[in-house]
Amino acid sequence: MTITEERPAPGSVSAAEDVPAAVARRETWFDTSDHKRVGQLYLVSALAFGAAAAGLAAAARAAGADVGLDASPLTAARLGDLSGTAFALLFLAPAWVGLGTYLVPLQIGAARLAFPRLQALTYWAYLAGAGVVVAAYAAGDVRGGLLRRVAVPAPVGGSNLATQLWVTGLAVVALASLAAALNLVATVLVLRAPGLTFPRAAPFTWATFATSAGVLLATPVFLAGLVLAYLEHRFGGELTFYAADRDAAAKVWQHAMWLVGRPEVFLLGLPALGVVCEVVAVAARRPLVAPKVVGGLLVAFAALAFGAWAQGIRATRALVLPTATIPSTLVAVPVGLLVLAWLGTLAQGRKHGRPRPGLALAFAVSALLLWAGAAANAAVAALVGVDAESGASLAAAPLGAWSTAQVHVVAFYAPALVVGAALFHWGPKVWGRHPSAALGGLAFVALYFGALVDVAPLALLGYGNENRVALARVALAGAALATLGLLALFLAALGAARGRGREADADPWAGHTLEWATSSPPPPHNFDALPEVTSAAPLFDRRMSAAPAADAVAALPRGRGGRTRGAR
Amino acid sequence: MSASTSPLALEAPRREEPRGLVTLGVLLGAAAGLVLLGGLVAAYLGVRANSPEWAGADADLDNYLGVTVAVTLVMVSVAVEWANYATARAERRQAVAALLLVLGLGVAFLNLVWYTGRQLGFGPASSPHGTAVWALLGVVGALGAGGLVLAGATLARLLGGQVTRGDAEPLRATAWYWHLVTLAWVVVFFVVYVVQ
Repeated sequence: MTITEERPAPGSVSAAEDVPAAVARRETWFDTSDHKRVGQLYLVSALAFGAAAAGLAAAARAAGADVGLDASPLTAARLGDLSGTAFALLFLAPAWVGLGTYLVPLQIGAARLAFPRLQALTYWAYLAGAGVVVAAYAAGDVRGGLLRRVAVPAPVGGSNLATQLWVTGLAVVALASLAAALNLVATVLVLRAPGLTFPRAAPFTWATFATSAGVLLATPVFLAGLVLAYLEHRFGGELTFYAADRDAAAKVWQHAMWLVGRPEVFLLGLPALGVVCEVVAVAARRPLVAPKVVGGLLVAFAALAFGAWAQGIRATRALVLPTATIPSTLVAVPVGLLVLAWLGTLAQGRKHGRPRPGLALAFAVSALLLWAGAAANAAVAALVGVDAESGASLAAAPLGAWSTAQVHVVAFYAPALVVGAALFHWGPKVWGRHPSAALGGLAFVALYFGALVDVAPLALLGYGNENRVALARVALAGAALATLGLLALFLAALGAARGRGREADADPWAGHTLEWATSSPPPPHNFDALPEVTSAAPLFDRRMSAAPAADAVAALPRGRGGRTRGAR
Repeated sequence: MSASTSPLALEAPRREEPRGLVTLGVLLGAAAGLVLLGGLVAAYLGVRANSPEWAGADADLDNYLGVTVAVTLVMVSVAVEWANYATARAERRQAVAALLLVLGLGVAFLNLVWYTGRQLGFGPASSPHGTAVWALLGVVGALGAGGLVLAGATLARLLGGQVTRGDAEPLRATAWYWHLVTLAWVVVFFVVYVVQ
């Protein structure tokens, strides 16, 4: 059976019966409710914020590197604060939301999200909240930080606009993420295609669902803390919620932050695990081994992320459990089993040929290496007894240098690499164009090695190295390189969105899941015919059953020069 | 064959609009709101347990306002169930009247919450107790405001003929939401006025 070269023009509307009325009229990017457009808006904005966040981190390192940078009126600590805030809340979280917004309806065979206009609203709310947070730092001295021991210290000379804006901006972003998570959970629960039971859902859908459910539980606690912080600061005087009895009140903020902060550290990585599952499966040319188990592991990871809250609180020692390490250690179990599943998939896939190398796989593997390095670093630090809080000035963050290094690797750089993997894996589907391989290569090298060069000096400082200025300069170089990498990712996405790059087929990688069963980019209603699902890898099964076993590999789409398509 | 139709896709029957979507969304949103409230309650109880001096112990809080708010919310719950009942019997005028009553009582609820705050005798920054109480009142008020928006939208849809005997899901979702707001106030009342 051949596939013709005709393809509906992007944005055109077919005669399918299920075309929503809102799609039939001409929508613009500002009033769109099409999940694909909203997803693209999220992705491009998130990448822009990511590049900015990396630049701010570089500026923070420069403040401690004695390179003549005058950081006033912002201190290096606040640069670090804003960088951390931007990385977590303005880059990574929206990137995953954007990817989920775009992909989840396609992966479950739906024509839309559960609440399309709500998702569009969350995007604009996220953008507005991000603007308010940035404005807060520009307005003056923000007396708060996401990871500070106490969210907002007792104000000196009354409340100030900058801190109020900061709290308000964070609250708006949190509400937006909450609404987006609600939408994704409802979409997965209600809009799955006929035959697509939960065990048959794609790994990324599983990961998005679990992450969104976690966000629904964790983010409201964060909002509660923000409400208290705002009241304390706005009407603050000598006796305020956080100042009157600092130990008791500080415990509250610590608990609130740990209830959201610790799960969120893991929840920022959970969609990344889903992406790696998909990339590995396609690279291995076969579906994941034990897909139901993989889905269960992803959900277990989210559930265990909340157990990690029980770890002892660093600053106030407010809560110390003799078994504090057990909940944190348990979180690693699903990850370890997932790694085994990936390796097993690659091994089994050798029946169909060697794994396909490509940019997406390179990004994914490099992220795994960073995570493995962080785990090894944590083990070594536990053995030698690192003072996790030392070197805060170099790290330009309220955390110590060693902790900053760990957070940057685990929660920022590694997931950012997986965002790159997602971009080059699904970019052809999103834009009908392959993102620039040259920019992708640059992004990979710059981001991966930049991450290593940035965090290694911080870790060394934590281990007791005294060469502060020299280490700061090395970290600065690494942060600058990482900034270049994120900028390259942003430009690659932007280029593909603007129609540059090699044209992509509907299924350039011989994918296994439903999103590859429609054109690139998909039509407004996603599918011309609703697919029927009989397994977790419907396209793989159809491909295998459509050709004799000996021709199974030959049935894979071929690229230029007769090579099997998929050589990225 | 067009490339937009994968050779692997099968023809499938046209799917009906999924039922229960709005109710699910409202329930998920309300659940998140309750977790938010739970966080504040935990903060209140946590600081109360660990403070050597707790201003709430000496606070003179008159129960009658709290009870009045509770009664108002119970009336809202009854009114919204009345709207459900009327819609089930295709009594459109009764359903409209019931929703108008919900809106009126909802506004009264917000007014009462504001008045309760003004009558407390302490401000948000007077003490940790004051901050926590005002935060609780503010969040419940915000939940009530959300319920007003929901009820207003449902009324508009009812008037426009989109809520009928055969498809009353928006009304059921609104009812669920207001029941949860009532539950939220019961929790706040217990924490602020009983536990104190």
